[in-house]
Amino acid sequence: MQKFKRGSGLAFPNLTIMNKYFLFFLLSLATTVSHGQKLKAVYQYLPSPMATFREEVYFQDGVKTSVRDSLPQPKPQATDNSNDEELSGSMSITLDMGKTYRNIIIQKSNAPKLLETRSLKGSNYFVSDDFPPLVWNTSYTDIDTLGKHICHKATTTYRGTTLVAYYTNDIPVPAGPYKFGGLPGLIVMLYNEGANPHYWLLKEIEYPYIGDVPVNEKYMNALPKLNLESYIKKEDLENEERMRMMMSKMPLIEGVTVERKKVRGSVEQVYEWEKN
Amino acid sequence: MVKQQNLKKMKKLLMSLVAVAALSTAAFAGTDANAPKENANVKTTAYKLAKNNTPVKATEAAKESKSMLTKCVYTLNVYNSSGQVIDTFTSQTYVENSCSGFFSTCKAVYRHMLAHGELGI
Repeated sequence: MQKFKRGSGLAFPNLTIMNKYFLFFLLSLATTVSHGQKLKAVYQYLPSPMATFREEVYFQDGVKTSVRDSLPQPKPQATDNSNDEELSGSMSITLDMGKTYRNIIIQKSNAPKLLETRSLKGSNYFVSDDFPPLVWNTSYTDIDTLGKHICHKATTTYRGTTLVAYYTNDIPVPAGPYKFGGLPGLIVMLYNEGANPHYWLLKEIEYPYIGDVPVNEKYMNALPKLNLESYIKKEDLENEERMRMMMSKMPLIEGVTVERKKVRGSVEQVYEWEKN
Repeated sequence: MVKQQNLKKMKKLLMSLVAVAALSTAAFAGTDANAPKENANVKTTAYKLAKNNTPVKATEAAKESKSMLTKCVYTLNVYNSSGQVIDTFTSQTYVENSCSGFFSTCKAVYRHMLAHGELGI
């Protein structure tokens, strides 16, 4: 006769299955608790040392809307470092890309495509993205306190880069900045690994949130439509043309060689159509 | 004989560097540091070359006497309005002592070009 011992784990034959059940339970809990309650989270987005943007994320009933400002946040007053500048071996310039618009992303859990607005040469486009599903590895034991949140680490691969996220179970909403989410709790910090990392840091939260989402879907629907592949190809072409022009204007100085290196400084390094 | 040739070549290189510095100083005199879209940052890439280093793109004179020269690399980072880097331009040369002269010449050239819209910006 088989004896039942307390904690013998008969219901869960091994720890892996138990972990899976636990994760499923957490996700279900997150979905149930978050259902009907609106959330507003404000992130600080740092694509490079050159600029910082404010990004607002709204989440309700499986619909996530992310709104990123078109203009960077004003920089704090710089201290006088004119002497350092003279000794520095680098300089940074920002291209004037014409009028820019807010980047709005609408992600519905039951829709295969993600919709967003993107600016190019002073025009705003409504772009559809066949967003690849994010498969998160949450098996890390790392726990960090970020601000007042106890956070857990998770990683995933995404379009040629590795994303590292820290999420909190205190806010059981599967949302996060930009196009990211799907974890048992709200993402508090996220960055991508690589030469040009982008950082998102949670700055403010309203949960439950009682206001409206400041997005006009009618306006978005009226914009010229493109799929992501066409948009990226147009953008790459535009950048290439401008950089070739810049290279042609570089002065020729004897004994000095000038080399150009094309960089894709976005989070996305390799798109699906570029893999072959 | 070889030493004399090397000395001659070094003299030539030095003369051309002095000429470049003098020309750029004269050309950009009075243009003022008025470039609004520029922001200096980060690294200084200057290091002494070891003897018999791997060949690099440079003038013959620099190649011949590189063991005594300092390699200077000046980087221009180009960002789009979303704050993402889209291109980098590196200017490279060899100097006898400090790179600061070369760096300030590069900075002056780029500032001048920016101020006059010559970078297509």
